[in-house]
Amino acid sequence: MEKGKISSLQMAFMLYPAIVATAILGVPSITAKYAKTDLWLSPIFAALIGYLTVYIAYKLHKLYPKQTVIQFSEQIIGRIPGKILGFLFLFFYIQNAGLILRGYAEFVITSFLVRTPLGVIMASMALLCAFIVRGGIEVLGRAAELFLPVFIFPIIIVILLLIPDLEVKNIFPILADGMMPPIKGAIVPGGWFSEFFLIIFLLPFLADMKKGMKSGMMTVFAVMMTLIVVNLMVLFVLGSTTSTKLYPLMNASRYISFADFFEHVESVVMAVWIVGAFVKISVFYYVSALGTAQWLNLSDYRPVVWPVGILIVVFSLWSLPNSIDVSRNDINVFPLQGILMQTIIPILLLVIAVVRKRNRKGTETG
Amino acid sequence: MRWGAFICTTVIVALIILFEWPKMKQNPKKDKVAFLTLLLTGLVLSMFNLPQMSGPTQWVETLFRPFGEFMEK
Repeated sequence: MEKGKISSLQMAFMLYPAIVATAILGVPSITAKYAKTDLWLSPIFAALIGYLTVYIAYKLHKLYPKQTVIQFSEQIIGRIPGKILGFLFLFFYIQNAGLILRGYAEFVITSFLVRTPLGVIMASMALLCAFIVRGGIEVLGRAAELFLPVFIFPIIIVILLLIPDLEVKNIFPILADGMMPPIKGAIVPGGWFSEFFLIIFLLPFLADMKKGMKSGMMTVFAVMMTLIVVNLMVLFVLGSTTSTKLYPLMNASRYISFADFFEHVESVVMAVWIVGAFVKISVFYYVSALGTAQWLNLSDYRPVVWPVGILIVVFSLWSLPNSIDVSRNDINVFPLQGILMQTIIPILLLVIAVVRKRNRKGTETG
Repeated sequence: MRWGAFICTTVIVALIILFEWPKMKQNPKKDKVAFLTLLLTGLVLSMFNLPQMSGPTQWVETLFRPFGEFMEK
């Protein structure tokens, strides 16, 4: 089905933007709503979900090295329950791809291209991602390898440029209401960290299998540090108004002004961020297309790339009349749905698989 | 029925078929059936006024409503 191979570095370069691209946009504001000044602690708790998910995915991969979750579910829980679970996964990924696409378009329209129609922005991004997904996982991996520096360095520069505007006092009081606020604030980022389960679709194509787990764990750590730094930056610049802003990082980058002429840095942030969103959407799109082809037992996933693209755009519009519904979904549905589908169900699958293997070994030797 | 979106989608679907069908000549019948079915599903769905229609997102939201209420506090 997929004959390409990627390196573990490329996998890390695909996953990092896949998680971070939207996490640094609106999530700091949501975390601030629950954790207030302790929002920098939340990524540490949320990252626990990330480490757990990578571990589970790797263990499942060791049991079924050449298969993704759509395929080995049938082997673990039987053909019909496996097909049903596979359909749930497909539905989850296609719907999420749609929501991400919508979130991206809403951000672009709200911050910059106010009068452009939603459909134009979404269709153009979907078209671009369709081309790269059609190219296969090697193309996607190399594109991610190429674009990640373009994504990271400007953001680091923006963070450095913010230093004159920082008010470190904003971090106090620390833990004023105890541990619960940062933990409650960690729920939504936790949903983002559960997305690391995407590696279950990428691990079968790793050229260097042994480095898979290490690469995954280091990516979790990198995402965690990024979120902590971004949360701190946003807190230092915006203080307690963070939770009232929809896209705090954009707001913060508007503060940058040197010698009265080096301004409007937020347009650079936006352009750079689109690169990150492109990688993220492409990874989800690839997983959706590959999963669909595997679920239907097709010989190749490439013909279904375009139809799946139409479905993704359909899902990005369905029953979401405005951007408030989109953000509400991010807070109320996505964390639980994400952690359920990508951490809890895989744990159950792993337990069942291990138990079945042990039973089989028992009856063979006994 | 939203004609604008439907016509755009039909044009896109036609382009996709034009583009992909020649490459799928040697693929097994199953591939072609799946390809056309998925395209048709997308086409049919584009006929409706999607943003206003209630759909799977609503079902999932209803499913997770207790969690939603917990997060609203």
